[in-house]
This record gives sequence, structure tokens and C-alpha cells, in this order.
Amino acid sequence: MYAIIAGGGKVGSVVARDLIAANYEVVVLEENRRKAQELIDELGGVVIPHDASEGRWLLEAGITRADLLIAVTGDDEDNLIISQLGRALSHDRVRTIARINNPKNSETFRLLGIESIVNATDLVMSTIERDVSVTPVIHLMRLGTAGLELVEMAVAAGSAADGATLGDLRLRERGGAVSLILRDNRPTFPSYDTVLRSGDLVVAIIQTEREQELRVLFSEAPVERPATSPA
Amino acid sequence: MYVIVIGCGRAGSEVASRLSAEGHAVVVIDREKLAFERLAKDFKGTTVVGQAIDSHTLESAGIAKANAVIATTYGDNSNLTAVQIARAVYNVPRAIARVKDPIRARVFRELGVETLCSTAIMAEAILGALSRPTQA
Repeated sequence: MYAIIAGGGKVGSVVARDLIAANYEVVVLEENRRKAQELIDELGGVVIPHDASEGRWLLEAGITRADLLIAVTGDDEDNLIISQLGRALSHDRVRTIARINNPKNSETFRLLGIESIVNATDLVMSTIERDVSVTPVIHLMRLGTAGLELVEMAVAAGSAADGATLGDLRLRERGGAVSLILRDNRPTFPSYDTVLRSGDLVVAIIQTEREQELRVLFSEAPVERPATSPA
Repeated sequence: MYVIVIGCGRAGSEVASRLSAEGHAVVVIDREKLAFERLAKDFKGTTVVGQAIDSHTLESAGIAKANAVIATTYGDNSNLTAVQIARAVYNVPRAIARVKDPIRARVFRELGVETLCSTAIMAEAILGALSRPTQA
């Protein structure tokens, strides 16, 4: 696999190191000469000291044969344009991943056709959610442009979900699909009549717009009980 | 015409001043307030301080009713992003980006974004001038 990384800052250099360790062929584009030199000293001759959004350097980096283009500069618009440029120059062959710093831009990026977006703010939020666990819904991954998310929901003691079956909760009707339940760190593949209990971690695909509805079911003090309340 | 000019550098201020002199309604956006000093003395349009791709800035410049957006900042990527937002989000009928990198200009033109490549235009002007006898 061949990956081009646009931006050799903190994020780019870590990604480069990890991908090299995973036996990827890697080239980093970093226009800041000093940063580029530091990367060359560390990683060897896989660094091109130029602006990745300039077409000729992307071509020189081999965009036409790359499998992956990872745009992780500090500027959202640079990452957008690098992704679009890379896609076009590779005739839509390369898979692109773009970093976003300002969450306000993620909707725009999606609208302009950038499929895979890593939003630093979202990542920080999901870490906080996991560590602090104030909210029972942890965002694992956003799925494409369909408005779907992969989430992990913890069943709180005394919540509507505690003691209820997946059928009782009518998750399907609420736009959710449960793929896995982690109970005592062991995976269970659930059916409609699997009974949930507090402490279970439910891994599910949900519709982003209905997250609040599901959050209520798994929360400690539900604001409202579901229509079919658990027996 | 209601025109939004993004970037009040040499090119942007020139375009904005001339459009204003021709009687068009012009709004100029720049992130530096001082940049507006470049506008002509008799400039009748309005100015907005803000970032080129920020929706709040674009909306306070009245992008919803703009007939055209011209992006002339020093950053090719900001210009290309701004005009794509203008077209895709706000349905502005005409949006033109100044782009210095010839490859980026060509690629985005092929993707349906209207671009003017200042490097290519200048190079052609120079080669054209050289091919003709001295005019000065």
C-alpha cells in the first residue's frame, strides 16, 4: 500500500511513523523547510519539502499510483483542496482522508464530496465521553455521508434499557441496529429478545438525528419511558 | 449586480473599486481591516472583516442575494473553497476564483469551478508582448 501524507506537523509525522511501521510505502509533503528537514532526519528520504496543494508536487509524489491520501495540515481549506486535487489527479483512484479542525466546516466538506473526515474536536469529545462517561453514548465513527454513526452505549442502572429486551426498546423502529453487546468484556451477538442489563456496552449503528432519543433510553434518569415499557 | 469580492489585496481592491465605479453594489471581505485602505477614495460599497470561508462572514456580506462572488485572496485554497461554498451552499450564480497554481486552476476548472490562473495569464501576456515590437 502506498500512502501520501500532506502535512508533516504533529499529526502527519505520527501517522507517517505508524504507517511505515505497518509496512506502508509512505511519502510526506511538508512545505515548511525546517519541519521537513526534521522529518528527513528522522524518517529518511521520504519527505518532499513542498506544498501538497500545488499540483506538481502531488504528481511528483506519485498521486497517480497512491492508494491513500491523508490531508492533515493545520488548515481546513488546504485539506479540502488537497483532497479534491488528489482525487482528480488520480482519476478518483486514491482514497482520501481529510482532517478538520473547525467542526463548522465538516458539513461543507461533506457537501463538497469529501467522504472521509477526521474531526479533531469530535475525537477529543469521544475521549472525554469515554473517560468522564457523563453521557452514555460514545461516538466511535461517523459512517460516510448517510447521517449514520457507529456508537457505543452503556446501559445505566435503572435506565429504560436496563432489564429490557432489544424488542422492547424498539431500536429498529428508532433507526438503530445493534451489532454487538459487550458483557463483562465478552462479545454477545444479540437477537430481538436478548435482555439488556446495566453495565452492558451496546455497539450499534444509529441515525445521528435520533441520537437524543436513544440517549434517553440508556440514561440513568430517563426523561420519558418508552411507549412499551419493560416488563 | 450585487458582487462580493473576497480579499482586498491589490487585485481585489482594484476589482472592487472598478465595479463600484461602474455602479454595482459591492461588498468586500478581508480579514484585515487595514486592507480596505487600498480601495478607491470614491468606493461606495461596504466592507466586512472576516475569514473567506466562514459562513457567518459570508452571510453578513449578504451572500444569499449575491449575483457573483470573486475570490482574490493570496491563498489559492481559500479562494477555491470560498467559491465552492458560494456555489454549493448559497447557489450564487457566478463564482470566480483567482488561482496562482496552473495545475490547480486546470483541475478545478475541469471539476466545474470557474478559475482564473494569474500565473498563466501573466505568462501569456509576457510571451505575447515579446512576440510583438516594442510598444512603449
